[in-house]
Amino acid sequence: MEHQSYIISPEDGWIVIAGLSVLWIGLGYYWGRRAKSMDGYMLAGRRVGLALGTATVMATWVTSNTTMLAPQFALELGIWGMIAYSTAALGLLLFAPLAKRIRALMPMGYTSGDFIRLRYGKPAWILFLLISIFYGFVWLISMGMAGGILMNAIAGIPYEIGMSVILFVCVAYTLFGGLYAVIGTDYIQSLLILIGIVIIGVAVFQIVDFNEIYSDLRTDKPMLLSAILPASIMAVFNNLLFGVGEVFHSNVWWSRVFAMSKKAGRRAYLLGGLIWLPVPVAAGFIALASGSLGINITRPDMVGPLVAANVLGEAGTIVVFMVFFCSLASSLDSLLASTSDLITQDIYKKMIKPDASDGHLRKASSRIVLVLGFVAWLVCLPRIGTLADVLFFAGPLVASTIWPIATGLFWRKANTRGAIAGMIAGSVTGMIFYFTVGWYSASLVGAATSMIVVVLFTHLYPAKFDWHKLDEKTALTRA
Amino acid sequence: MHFPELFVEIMIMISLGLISASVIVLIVLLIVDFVKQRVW
Repeated sequence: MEHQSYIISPEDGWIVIAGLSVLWIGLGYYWGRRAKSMDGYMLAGRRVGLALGTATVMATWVTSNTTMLAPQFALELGIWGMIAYSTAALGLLLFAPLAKRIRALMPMGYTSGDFIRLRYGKPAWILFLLISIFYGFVWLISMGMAGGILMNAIAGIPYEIGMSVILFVCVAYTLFGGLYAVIGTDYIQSLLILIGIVIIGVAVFQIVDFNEIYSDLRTDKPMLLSAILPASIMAVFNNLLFGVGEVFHSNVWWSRVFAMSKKAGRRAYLLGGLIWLPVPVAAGFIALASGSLGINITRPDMVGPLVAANVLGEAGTIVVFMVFFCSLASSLDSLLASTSDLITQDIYKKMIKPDASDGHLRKASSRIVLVLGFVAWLVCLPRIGTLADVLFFAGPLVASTIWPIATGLFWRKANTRGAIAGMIAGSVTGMIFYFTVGWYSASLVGAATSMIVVVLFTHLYPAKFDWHKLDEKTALTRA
Repeated sequence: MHFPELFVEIMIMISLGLISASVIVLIVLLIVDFVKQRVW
């Protein structure tokens, strides 16, 4: 007979899920009343302020990967692992100046695909869409699967049911409220995530002295305290570049720039990055304390709930369950909305139905959210194992887009040939390193190759790009 | 060579402090946006 003891009872798990689900769907429906136009549904009216902007940036970046993988990084790579994970904040911080530039150059833009198409032309646009949609979909699937796995591991809810419920809830409120619902719920989710992490961290400090944790680590796992751990140091750069690549290319982040008011964009990314920066350190600390608390870790990704249960009892596990649920929901809803935007604007409108009205696109966008949710559910259903490897595989692909995007926004001389060659060369060399050296080198090599190629082509074939071309609506009116 | 205990402890304490402060910052920002009618 198989015996499995869960961290909280399935009844408590269902109560938390039901409470949060009703809240999210209710708020999605309430905010959805604002989302009548296409700009309202896709971009929350383009006037989102600093508070909601900062919270949505921070909450979306706290995926289940942060709450599950950051403790795992700490347990496997030690202090450097915590620092390595924190460097992903640089993705948000470095995107801040780009956010300002994007809003100035493309005041009526919709997607990151818009920028690549207008800046580099159709072939680069198609290549970029392949990378971006592949990455977005893999991220979506990995979140859906993580939801099912977490609910099963924490509350004993069957994988298929847990995964279906979280996907259904996120699809429902995104469908009703579009980006209004996504950003509004992100605010509440970000507060719950931050408060939950502080509660667990402070509780650990109250039960065990830090010098006890440190001396236990020094005796039992001295490698975790090592200041010279080459693989971990390499992971710092890899994580940093993967993070930068993810943020620079993904429509999740571009759509937020278009959604925020002109003044809020840059500041929201700076503040969101600063708020996110300490989260992996705090989550990693909870993992490092597990030894001193006498917790036997059989699954490193479950260390958060186990420590919470140990230090706070059942109330603690409910807190951590809420943190996980919020982390998943805040990323799932963003991915559904932004991938749907990308497909609606870049594929449906630009390739299939160029004369579609706003109302028609609004309906199409809703249907695409539904289809995306259904396809994600179908792929998640067989529980094909971990998708973390596939997500890391996407690392060099997204890292190869960093330089075509950054130079394309600031250098008039950056050109189409360089962008295409940079994305292809960066992706190929990165993948070669992924298979021959390891995941921790792939993004680093992909970004470095792409940088060399883009800079070389910029000097060999300098373009004279007219920035006004990026403001498509104004350009069309002038024409 | 190990990371010194004090360094690690300060890093963790600062992190928890920053996260706590972030909650207050987010609430204050929302109040300010609400008063100035620029939430959405």
